[in-house]
Amino acid sequence: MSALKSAVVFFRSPPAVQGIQDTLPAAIAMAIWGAVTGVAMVQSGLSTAQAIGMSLLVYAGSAQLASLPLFAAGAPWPIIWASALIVNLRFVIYSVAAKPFFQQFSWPKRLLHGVGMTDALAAEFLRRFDPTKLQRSGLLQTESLRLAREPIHYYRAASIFIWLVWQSSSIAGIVLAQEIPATWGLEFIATIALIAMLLPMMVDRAGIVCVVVAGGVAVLSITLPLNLGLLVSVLAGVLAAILADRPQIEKTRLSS
Amino acid sequence: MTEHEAYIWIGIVGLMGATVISRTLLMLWPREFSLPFRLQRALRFAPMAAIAAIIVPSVLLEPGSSFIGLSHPKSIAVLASLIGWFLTRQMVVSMAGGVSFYLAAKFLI
Repeated sequence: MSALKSAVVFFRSPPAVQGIQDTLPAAIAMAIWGAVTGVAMVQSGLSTAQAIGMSLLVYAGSAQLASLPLFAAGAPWPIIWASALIVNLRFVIYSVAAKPFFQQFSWPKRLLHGVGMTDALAAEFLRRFDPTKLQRSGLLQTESLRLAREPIHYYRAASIFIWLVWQSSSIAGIVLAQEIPATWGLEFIATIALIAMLLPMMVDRAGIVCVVVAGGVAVLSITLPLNLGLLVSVLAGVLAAILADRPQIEKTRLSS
Repeated sequence: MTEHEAYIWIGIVGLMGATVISRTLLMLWPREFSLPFRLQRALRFAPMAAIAAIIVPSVLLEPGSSFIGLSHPKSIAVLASLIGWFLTRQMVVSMAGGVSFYLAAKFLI
């Protein structure tokens, strides 16, 4: 009972309320993606238990969606895991940016906070508590727990909130998928969801080059053994994007 | 447990490992860490390349590695998601367009 009470007190504290308010719009969009991911997991052949297990254990929508065509094709594990790692590389960037706030914690606590990181949370958290700005103003250097408590409560509340929204919508999608007739052949829904995710990322020339080269090489290298074509394509796409990006980098350097 | 079930479950556990590592490795790193500007930009492209490398063959090719035609439900779905995105710039519209046109093409053509 007292645990429940302290949870209520925690979620009513101003930073927690702020964190939930800030991530609310993203969470609504995320609920749709969670449901779609749930449907996609079942439609691409996972059992209900496997789909729920994947949702709870993996908790990374784009990596889950990306793994589905690979599972359906019977790709070897290292290929599936490597592509998840690559799709997840953005979490590495987020965790480096958020790291200063959690530095004072023990490693199990850092692990727990790290696992709660998501795209929506990173966007809102790093906007409200920009570590480089805070470091410049000396707020983080004080390492005073009292000062550092606000961002941490914000982060905790928002990450728990997003986790709950994602898991409940994903499981709702898994249950809903049982009702979809098999003749609909919705296994392609994972690919459609990935396309919709990819389009907003192609904001500049380098992004378009990246997608075209990686996709083209993937088609040409489809016959390589052990699905090695996937890794070759990623490498080709990233290299092509870096080459296409070079003038862009110089422009941003000059303007800043 | 059948062989296929084991294949999926081991795959899922490995995916969990891949996600936990990417989310926490540098968080657990004992020292302060900053990524060079160029590396950060390069890292931004890797997920796009991986997603493209997974979806482009699964869109364009039929099992047996032959190209699909333009009237294939998959082609129509992709066109619908592209049009949905460029008209509204909303991911959800793009996805809903793709799914509904995919189903429509499948049952009507």
